[in-house]
Amino acid sequence: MNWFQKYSPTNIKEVLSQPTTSLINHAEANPKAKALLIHGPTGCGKTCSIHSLKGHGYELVEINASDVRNAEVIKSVIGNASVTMGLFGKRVILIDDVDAFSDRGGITELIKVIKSTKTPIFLTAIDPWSKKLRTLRGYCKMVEFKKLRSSTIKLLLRRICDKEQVKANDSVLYSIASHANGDLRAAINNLEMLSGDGEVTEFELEAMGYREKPVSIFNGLQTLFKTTDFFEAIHSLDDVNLDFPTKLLWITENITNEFSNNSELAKAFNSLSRADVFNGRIIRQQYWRLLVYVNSLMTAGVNLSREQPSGFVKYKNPTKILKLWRSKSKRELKKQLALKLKPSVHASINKVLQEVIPFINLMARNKEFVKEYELTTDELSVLTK
Amino acid sequence: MKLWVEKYRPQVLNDVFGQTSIVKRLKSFVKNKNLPHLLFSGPAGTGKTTSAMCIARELYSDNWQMNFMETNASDERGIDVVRGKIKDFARTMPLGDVNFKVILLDEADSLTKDAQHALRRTMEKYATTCRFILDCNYSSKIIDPIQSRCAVFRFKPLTEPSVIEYLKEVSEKEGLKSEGNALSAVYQVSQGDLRKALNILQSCGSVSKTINESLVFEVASYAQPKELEKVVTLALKGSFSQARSLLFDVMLKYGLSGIDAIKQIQSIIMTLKTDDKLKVRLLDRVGEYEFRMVEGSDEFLQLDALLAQFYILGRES
Repeated sequence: MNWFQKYSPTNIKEVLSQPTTSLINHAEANPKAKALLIHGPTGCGKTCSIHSLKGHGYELVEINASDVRNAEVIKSVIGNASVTMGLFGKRVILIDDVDAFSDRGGITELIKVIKSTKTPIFLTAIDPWSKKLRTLRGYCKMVEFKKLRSSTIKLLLRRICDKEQVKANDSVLYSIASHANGDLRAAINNLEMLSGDGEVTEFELEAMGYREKPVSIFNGLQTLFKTTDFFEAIHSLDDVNLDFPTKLLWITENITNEFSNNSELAKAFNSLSRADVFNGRIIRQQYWRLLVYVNSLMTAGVNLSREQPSGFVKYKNPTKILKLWRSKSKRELKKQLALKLKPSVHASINKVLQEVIPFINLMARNKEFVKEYELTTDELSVLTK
Repeated sequence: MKLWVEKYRPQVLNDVFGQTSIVKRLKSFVKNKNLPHLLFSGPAGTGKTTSAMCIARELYSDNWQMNFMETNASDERGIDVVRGKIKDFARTMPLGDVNFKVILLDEADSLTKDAQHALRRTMEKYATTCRFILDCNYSSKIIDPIQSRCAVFRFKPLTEPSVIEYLKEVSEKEGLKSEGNALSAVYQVSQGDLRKALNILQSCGSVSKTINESLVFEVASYAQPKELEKVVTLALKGSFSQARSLLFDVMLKYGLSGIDAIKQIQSIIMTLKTDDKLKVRLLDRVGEYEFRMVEGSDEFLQLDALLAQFYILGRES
């Protein structure tokens, strides 16, 4: 028996984070008007929560997608069970995956059965809004099961690990959980598959090609600068999660540590400069194919500027952005000041910035000058060096 | 206390300094209360804008502000300004006894070609109610159809004696004493640009009531950061990292744009005490990177890249 079956809930209370009370209510409902249509994504517990009703003493009559589901089968299997009493009194009927019904006659027959049933009927579907279920929906109450959260899945995986004596740390379990994307069945199957040796490590995850771990900029830069393989250089920053201008910034920041010799630097910077030109053209013309050239020039172009091998280099964060951001408010203030003086100078803002502003801090030594143009302390503070 | 460029700006054509023959022609236009479209070309600080304003004052006396509009093409260079603001002003009737209005379009050479063509139509269409005065540094940047519709006046940079004469007058009024060659030094750093000369004189005056040559040079260097020379020298020596971080700091400190910085680097290279052949090679490269800066997206990167080329170029000689 695989783990998924082994650990499937035997009591409906074990089904986590889903509106299971409405299931119990329906199972006990009297009269049995309408079927209960449970809908939600794969692996969130629709079917297994009905199965768990067995643990509450219910007999389960089931038709699932693997059975032939034409009108005749529905009539003979379900029709009968819906009107007779169960062996021990309590009985429920489950028809799985109604959205996968291929036979229209089957649904028509199913509706007939629902109209006259004396036994609670449960239906499940991934997509309850599909066209062929339109009529059927009129005979159903709907209940939605939500996609399971990774943290919930992780919790369940941990319980299984404990029982199976599998060693795995939290981050590994979380990776498996989040990779499953809400599908508990997939998560348990994967855990079982990976835990052959009684231990699941990061190494196993990677070996499965399972975690597409984004490459850090530090590793990316190392490949970019050091590799001797053209294609490795070209793709060195592919999996780094930054945009192109930011990557460029990282390269220019660290390039001086990599290339100590001036002719290497000149070549590398020439490549970067060309990359930036293509970047500018992309921005202006929105012709994104040019990105190929930006990338080639800034990776392989820089890499091939190397003339002599370099040793270990510790890469640094670019500090430029922060400094620029700090100086931006300064530039804004200068412009504001230029606007103030423009009517007096009768020249463009640019001219005022270039020709008058440089002298203003000298002129502002005169208090009357400050008063005349109502210069604020903020404005004056930009000017004092 | 006002900016001296404002305080001493001439109010009548007679006071416009150092452009005698031009002033004479302009005065006859005012006297006849008729004006062709005018194109003033010439370097900065030679009286183009001032002359235009004087014309308006003398033509309309008290109504001058209602019949005169000043707009700067460098601040509003799009075609929309020509189609909107200028056209709106041009098509309404003038006030008073002169039957046209005057529009001054400053720094007209920064208008795009499209805007200039739109302007040419406006000039024709509203010629009865409106005259244009276009100011520019280079008349070659103005399209021919506009030039042919204008009377062109070329303003000359002021000569050293006339600049000094003018500065003496201002100094007297402001109670400034100048020692030795101080005023001649002001001319040297301003090169016939009266606006620049006045700004420097005023700045000197704010520091001390007695000005001398060394004060003038010190003040003038405020407009052109000394550090940039050091940036160029460092880069030529091959100290790239130092050159680059100094350049970055200078740009932030003075709020220089990439284009500002590259322009200054270019003018520093011109005056470099070095082999002329190297100068040409450097200038060629500076030009290439100025072009790349215009085409590209990151001006800092382009400047860094330019500095990285300097040492190699120096070694080739």
